[in-house]
Amino acid sequence: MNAKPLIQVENLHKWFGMLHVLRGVSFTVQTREVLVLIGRSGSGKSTMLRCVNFLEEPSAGTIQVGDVVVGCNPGVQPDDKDILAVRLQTGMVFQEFNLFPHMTVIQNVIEGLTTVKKMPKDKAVAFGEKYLAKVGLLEKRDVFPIRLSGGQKQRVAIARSLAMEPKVMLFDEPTSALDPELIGEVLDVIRELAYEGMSMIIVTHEMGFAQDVGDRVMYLENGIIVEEGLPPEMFKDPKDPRTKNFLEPIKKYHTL
Amino acid sequence: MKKLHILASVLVVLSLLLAACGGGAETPEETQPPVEQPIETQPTEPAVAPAEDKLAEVMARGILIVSSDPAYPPQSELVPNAVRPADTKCATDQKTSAELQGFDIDVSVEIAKRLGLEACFVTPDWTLITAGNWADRWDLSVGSMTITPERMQNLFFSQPYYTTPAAFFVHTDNTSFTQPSDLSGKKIGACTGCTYDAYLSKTLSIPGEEINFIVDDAVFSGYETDSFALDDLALGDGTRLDAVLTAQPTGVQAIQSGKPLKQLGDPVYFEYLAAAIDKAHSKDPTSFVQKLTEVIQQMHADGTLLGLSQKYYGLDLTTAAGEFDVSLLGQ
Amino acid sequence: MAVEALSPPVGQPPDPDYQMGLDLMAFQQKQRRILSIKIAVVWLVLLGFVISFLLFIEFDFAYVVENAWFIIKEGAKWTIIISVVSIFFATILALLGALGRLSKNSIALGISGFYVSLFRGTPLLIQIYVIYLGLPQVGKSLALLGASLGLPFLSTVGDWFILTPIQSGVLALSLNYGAYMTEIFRAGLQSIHHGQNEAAVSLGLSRWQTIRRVILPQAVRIIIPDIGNQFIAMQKDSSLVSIMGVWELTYMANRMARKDIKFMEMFLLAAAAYWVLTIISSWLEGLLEKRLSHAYER
Repeated sequence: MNAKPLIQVENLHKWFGMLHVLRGVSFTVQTREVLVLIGRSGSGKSTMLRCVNFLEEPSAGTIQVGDVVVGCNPGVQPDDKDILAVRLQTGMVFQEFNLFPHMTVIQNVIEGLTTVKKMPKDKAVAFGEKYLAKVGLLEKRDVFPIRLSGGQKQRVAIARSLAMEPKVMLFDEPTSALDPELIGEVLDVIRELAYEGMSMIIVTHEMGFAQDVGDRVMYLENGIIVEEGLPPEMFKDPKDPRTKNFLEPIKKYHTL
Repeated sequence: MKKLHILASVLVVLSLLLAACGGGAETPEETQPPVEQPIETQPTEPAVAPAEDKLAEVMARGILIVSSDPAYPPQSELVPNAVRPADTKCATDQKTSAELQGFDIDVSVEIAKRLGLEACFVTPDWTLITAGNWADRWDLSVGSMTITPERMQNLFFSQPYYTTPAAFFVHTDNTSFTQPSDLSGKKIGACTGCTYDAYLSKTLSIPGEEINFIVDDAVFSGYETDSFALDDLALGDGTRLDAVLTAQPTGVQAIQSGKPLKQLGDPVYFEYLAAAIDKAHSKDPTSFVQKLTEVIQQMHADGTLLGLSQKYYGLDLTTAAGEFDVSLLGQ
Repeated sequence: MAVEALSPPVGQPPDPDYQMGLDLMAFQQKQRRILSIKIAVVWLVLLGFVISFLLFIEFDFAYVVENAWFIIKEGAKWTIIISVVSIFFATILALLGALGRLSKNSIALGISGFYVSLFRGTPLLIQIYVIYLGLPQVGKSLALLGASLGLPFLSTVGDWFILTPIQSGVLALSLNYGAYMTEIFRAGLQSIHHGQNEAAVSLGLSRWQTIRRVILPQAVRIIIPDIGNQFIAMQKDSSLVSIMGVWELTYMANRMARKDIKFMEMFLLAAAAYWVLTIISSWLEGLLEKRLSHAYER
C-alpha cells in the first residue's frame, strides 16, 4: 500500500441542529482500496460518505482527498475552490439515481464534461459512449431516463460519474431503491469496477456483496466507528458485541 | 457562490434602474417613434434653462400638443375609422385632428391655426390632466376645464372660451320636485372630484362668481363620469338616484338621445371653461399663457367661438366667457 | 397512451384473449366520445343563456358588427403589445427575484424580499400613477441638481425619467407581475427534488450552472402553466394603462360607448375580445407545455 492514503479523514464531526450525527470519526482509504460501510439506518454512515465530497458540510475535522486538504471548523466556511477540487476527484452515486430527467442518457453522461471540464461536445460524446458501453447501455444513449428501468438508471448514473474520471467512487446505498431482480445488474457493474482497481467507498445493506468486493469493512453506530476489519473475519466473527448484535439477525436469514 | 448572489442582486437593481431610466430600451421599437417627445429629445439644449421660453419652444417645434380625453361628447369624442393625414407632423403616439372631433377639438385646431401650428392630441385620463406636473408631455389642456382655486395651484388658465351652466336633472316620472331647492336631503349623483361634487358639498368656489348653494344635505353618490350617473338616474325615479347635477349640455344631450330625464329649473351656477397650462413646465410658460389668452380673445371678438357653440350646442355659451376679466384670477 | 396497446407485443405468442382487449379499448373510446359530446352540449346551452341575456337587454348587434373591427384592430394591438412585452420583463424580474429569495446573501435576500413585498403589497393602479407622475419629478430634481453642480449630463439623465404612457405601463406591469411571479418561480425552483441539486454539484457544477442547466429547465415545465395564468390576468390588467391615454381595448370600447351611448354593446365586445385573446393564450400555453413535457413521456 502507498505511504500516502488517497483519502484521509480526521476527527470528523457533523451536527444537524443539536443532533450529533458524527462524533469524531477518522479513517483512510488507500488507492485501489474498496471500503464498505455498514450499519443501521441513522448510524451516520451515509452522512460520513456525503461529508467526503461536501454534500454535507462537515462541522469540524479535516478531509483530505488526493492532494487537496480541507480543514473544517465551526463557523468557518470552506473555500469553494477546495470543495470543487474535492468533488472533481470523487464520483458520487445516489440511492435515488438522481438522473437529470430533462436530458437524454448521453446528455446526462456528458453534462459534467461539457459544463465543468469545458470539453468540446464531440469529444465528450465519444467519452460518454465509452462509459455507457462499459455499463452495457450504449444502445440507450438517446432515450430519456423515464424510459429506463431502475437498474438501468443506476448504471447510467454510474457511467455519468465515471465519465468525470474521478480518483474515487462513492456509492450511497446504490441498490436500496431497486426491485430485487434489478439489484444484480448494478452490483455486477460495481464489482467489475472493483476488479479493475477503482478506489471506492460503498455504503450498502447487501452483506454478501460487501463481503465479496470489500477490501475492508467498517461498522458504524451512533456516529462512531465501532469496528473495522477484513470482510471475511468481520462477518464471521465480529469482535464488538454491538457489531455482533447488528449482524446476528442478518446472518440468520442469509448465507454469508 | 456569494459572488453569484451579489451579481444577481446587482442585476435586479440594474434592471430596475434601466427600466426606470432607459425606458426606450425596454419597450419594443415599434412603440417608440424616435421623435415622439421632441421636448426631451433635443440634445443640444439643456432642459433646465430658466430663461427658456415655452412659447418660443412650441413655435419652433411646429406642433401644439393638446390633451383632451375623448370621453365627453360633444366636447371631445373619437372618430371611428379615421385616416391620419399623410403630411401630419404629429408623432405616432399622438392623435391628429382627424381622429378626434368635438367642440374642444375644433377650438384646439383653431388656436393652433392662429399660432401657425398643427394641433396634435394626447388623451390621458382627466385625473392626470388636472394633477399638473405634466412633465412637458403636452403643452396645454383644451378640455372644458372649469377654473377653480384648487386647479389654479397647479395650472395657469387662459381667457375662458365658453361657460357651462350647471343644472339638476331628474327623471321624467318625477312630479314632486319643482325647483332645485326641493332636492335638499335627496340622493344626488355626480362625478367624483368634479365641480358638481364640490357644489353639493358646498366647497365650490369659482373665481369671479358668487355662488348660491341652494341644496342642503344632499346624499352624494359619486360616479366616474357624469354619463354613468345619468344612466343610473334613467333607471327610474328614485331607483338609484333622485337627481343628477351635471353640465346643462350633457343633460340636454342625454335627453335628446332618448333618456327619460328632464331639467329641473334654471342652471344653479356657471362654470368658466378655459385652456389650462402646467405651472411646472420646464420652460417659462408666462408668454405662452398670454398668447393663448390673446388668441382666445380674438376668437371671441370675431365670433368664431360663438359659431362653434351654436354648431355643437345650439346655444350661446361663449359670450359670458368673452366678458370674463382674466386678470381677476391674479395668476 | 392507450392506443399503443392495439398492436400485440413483438416476439410473444399471440394472446388468445386479444379480442377482449380490443373490445375494452373500443368501449373506452366510445365513452370518451360521449363525454365530449355532453360537454359540448353544456357549452352550447350556456352560450344560449348568454345570447338570450343579450336579447333581453336589446343588444344592438348591428352596431357591434359595424364597429368591432375598428375597436379590435386598434385596441387589441396595444393590449397584446403591452402584455407580451410586460410578461417578458416580468419573467426576467421574477427569475432574478426568485434567485434572490433563495440565496443566502443578505443583500440579495434584502432586495428581493423588499421588492416582492412592496410591489405585491400596493395596487397596480397606484404604481402606474407613481411611475407616470412621480418619476418625471425625480428626473427634474436630478436636472436641477445637475444645474447647481455644473453637471449638464444630469439633465439628460433626468429626461430619461419622463416615460411615455406605454413605457410607464410596461414598467408598472412588469414590476407588479414580476413580484407575484417571483413567488411562483421560487416555489417552482424549490419543487425540484434536492437530489437533482446534489447530483449536479457532485459532478462539479457551480451553483449557477446547477440552476441554469439542471434546476431551471425542470422548473420551467412546472412554472409555465402559472406564467400562462399570469399572462391571462395581465392582458386584462393591461387595461389600466388606458388612464394614460393608451388606446387599448378597454379604452377604445369605453370611448366608443360614450360617443354613441352604447355601453353594453361596447363593454361586451371588449369582454368578448379579451375572452378570445385569453383562449388563444391558453392554447399557446398548452402547446408550449406539451413541447416541454416531451422528456417525461414514457
